[in-house]
Amino acid sequence: MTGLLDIRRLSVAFGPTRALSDIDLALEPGTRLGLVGESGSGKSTLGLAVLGLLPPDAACTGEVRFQGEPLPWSDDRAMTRVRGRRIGFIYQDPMAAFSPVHTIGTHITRALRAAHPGVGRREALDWSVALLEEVEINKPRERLDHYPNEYSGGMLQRVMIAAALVGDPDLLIADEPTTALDVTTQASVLGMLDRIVEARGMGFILISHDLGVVAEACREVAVMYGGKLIQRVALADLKAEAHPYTRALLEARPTFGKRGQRLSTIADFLPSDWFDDA
Amino acid sequence: MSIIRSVPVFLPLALLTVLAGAVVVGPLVWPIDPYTMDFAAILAPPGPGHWMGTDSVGRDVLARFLAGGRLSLSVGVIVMLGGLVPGAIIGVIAARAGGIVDMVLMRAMDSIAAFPPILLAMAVAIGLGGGLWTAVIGVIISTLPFFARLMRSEVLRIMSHRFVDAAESMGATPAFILLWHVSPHAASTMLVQCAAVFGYAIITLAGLGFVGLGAEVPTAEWGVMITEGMKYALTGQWWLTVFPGLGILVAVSAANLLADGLSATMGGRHA
Amino acid sequence: MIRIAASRLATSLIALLGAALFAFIALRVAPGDAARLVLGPFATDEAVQALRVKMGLDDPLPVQFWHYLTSFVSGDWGWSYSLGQSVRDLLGERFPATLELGLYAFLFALVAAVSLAVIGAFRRGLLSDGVPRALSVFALAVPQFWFGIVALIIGFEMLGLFPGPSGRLPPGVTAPAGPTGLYTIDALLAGDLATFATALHYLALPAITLGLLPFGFLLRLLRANLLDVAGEPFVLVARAQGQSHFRVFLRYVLPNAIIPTLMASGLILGQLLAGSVLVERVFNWPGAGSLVTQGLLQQDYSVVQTFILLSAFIYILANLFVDLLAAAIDPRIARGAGQ
Repeated sequence: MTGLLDIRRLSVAFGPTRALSDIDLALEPGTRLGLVGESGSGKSTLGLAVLGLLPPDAACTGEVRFQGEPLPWSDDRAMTRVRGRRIGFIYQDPMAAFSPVHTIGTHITRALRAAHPGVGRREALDWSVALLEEVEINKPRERLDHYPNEYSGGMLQRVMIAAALVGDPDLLIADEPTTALDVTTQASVLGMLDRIVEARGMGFILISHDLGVVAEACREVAVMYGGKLIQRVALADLKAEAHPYTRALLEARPTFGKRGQRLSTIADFLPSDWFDDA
Repeated sequence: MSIIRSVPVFLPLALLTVLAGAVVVGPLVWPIDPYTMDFAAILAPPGPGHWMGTDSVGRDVLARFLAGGRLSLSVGVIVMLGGLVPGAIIGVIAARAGGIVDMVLMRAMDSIAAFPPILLAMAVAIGLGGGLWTAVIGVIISTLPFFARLMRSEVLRIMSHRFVDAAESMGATPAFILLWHVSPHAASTMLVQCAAVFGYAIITLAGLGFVGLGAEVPTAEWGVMITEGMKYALTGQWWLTVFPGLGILVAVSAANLLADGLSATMGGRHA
Repeated sequence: MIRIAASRLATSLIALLGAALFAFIALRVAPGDAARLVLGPFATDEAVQALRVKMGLDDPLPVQFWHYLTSFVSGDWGWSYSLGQSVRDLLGERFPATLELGLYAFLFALVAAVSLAVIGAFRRGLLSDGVPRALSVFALAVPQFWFGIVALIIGFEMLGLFPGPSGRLPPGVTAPAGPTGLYTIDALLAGDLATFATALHYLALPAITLGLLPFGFLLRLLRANLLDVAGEPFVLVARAQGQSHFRVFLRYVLPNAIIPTLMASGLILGQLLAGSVLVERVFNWPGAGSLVTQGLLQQDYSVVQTFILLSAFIYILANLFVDLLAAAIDPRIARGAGQ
């Protein structure tokens, strides 16, 4: 049986800085994986590398197979047919993810027609309304004509989720989808993602620095550190067999039992091989 | 200093230095007087005796080019300093005083900036009776809004930082904060502006010379040389106009590139 | 929206007053004799004294400023002694030539700058990146009047490809009669393609020369804006939705980069007006700019004064227009609301 995603020996470098080194990661269809790590650990880079959207100065080696075939990174036109239709992407900062001079309707219909080139203008409009309804935006037909600055962060994030799902992808990569939101909005957006991923049975990679968020929506956790994947473990077993660094991450999490105590910080885990010697 | 070693700063700086060196040292190596007429060699093309040829009354174009360069570069420096000092003072006063003083000063700067710079300089030069120095004053006035606005926003920006609050809470006086905290930050921005104004002054004064408001006719000045040479440009004596124009082009590009290089190196936006 | 418009209008009015005050101080209060400035060096002392009285130069300064302002606004711009005509008629006669030149200069600058900036930003490479960079450095550092002369040396004298500095049309060709005074448009309206082509041929070098500075300026600004916008997250997100590189550039990057670029239109108008003074002289272009140069050289300053203050007024009004336009287009300013 072919897996959904199979990353083999993936390395990415920006000049002398190595962002990812020798990542191996395989995902079965329907897997829900949380990718955790501190900022700078390379988790966002991994997401963008899979989509083939790294900046042009990134040096990328290794291979990523998607549903059995290698992703055609060097052929941007072919990648265009992968993005949106087979792999969906949700960006971390909803406020920055929309062009300020275009209406929400323009954004959605453009995403829609990129995934379904044959769709006409009218049909795209009706479809957009249905999509906004699905992500619980009130008065969707009116709301289509509004600009991003008239939406709240939580609403924009839900619109972005809708736009990422129009092509019915088999894998959804969400890069810190709730970090920019306040706590209550976080919970509702996360709940919605959870329901949608469950209903569609799609593969899901949730990139986050927050183990709590990952625990809500994922079954498995992969821990990244200094550009390397250091551990992958089922969520249930996380506490039992954690790598010392993973344990440190866990300790740093605020929980009820630790009220009134000082949270532990991660002090002496500075990545040693941050730079190539060259 | 490490800034100077970065290529986008070093190259234009070297170019300006070479140009300045050439026009200063040049007369020692090329001892022909820029005003001596030689009726035996009228409109002589560039050749061994006259590398840039001679003009309609037999004056040596290279000698005039060097003299003109000396004038242009020094006038560039004068305008730069003449605009920087009062402009920065206006900016600081506006930022520190705030309220009505700020409003009046900045609206005054807006009014000056409403004139296309060379036309403003024209108005001032005409009002003061014409000639190179009235044009210089005009150009200086036209640069005031650039310096004042920039200085004002720099001061406001830096004063809004936390470390200024910290300094204030430790008892630092406003004057101390301005001198110790604001000026080093503002200096880099103002340096970029100075380089740009230096080039702007050279090209604008040449333009004023071209319409008869800057340097006056016998003076060896690049703009005036182009005006004088224009009569002969289409009859084959191209060297009269081409060389002084190239001088302006090189000096102004170097100044603009220096401004870009400085701003990129010191963390500004790229051009 | 109305509040924004009102506040913009107020600042513009203040700037207009300030500009008039500045011109008044520079040209009237400065040491020179304003009446002498207007009448020129050859007028008799009696004539100068008569004009002093007529201009109210012995009145208190605020009164003088009021007269200066009201007569300027009402179009009473004085008399040119060297041409024996009222300044208003002179400028009115010459204006279409300058307008036509400025229009083509702007078209050249816009088309050249947008296409080069787009090529440079869309495909990063040594050639597509280096050429626009070098051109913008050149365009911003070259004295326009000198460029015009060199263009004539090469294009007219050496290669014979372009007409010499002889105005808008060759002698013997009658100007097309028409409502606009712009020869190319009037010729088109009359269906006279030959004259249209000739007029365009005569416009080419002057328009490129005049458009050079705005071209360099626009190119530089647009390049910086395009690079900025290309790094925005919404570009990445649109790409991740499967929209092609080219479409994302056209639909998201370009519109977001062009709006701030257009905000500089007022500045470009100023560059064109000031540039016309220098460039028209080189090409003997019979426009308002050459009228100014002529006035400067003959010390007949009435035209010059009017042109200078008029330029400032045009600049301020253009900026007002652009601001209001931007407020109408850009939803962030237009609706103001948001989070």
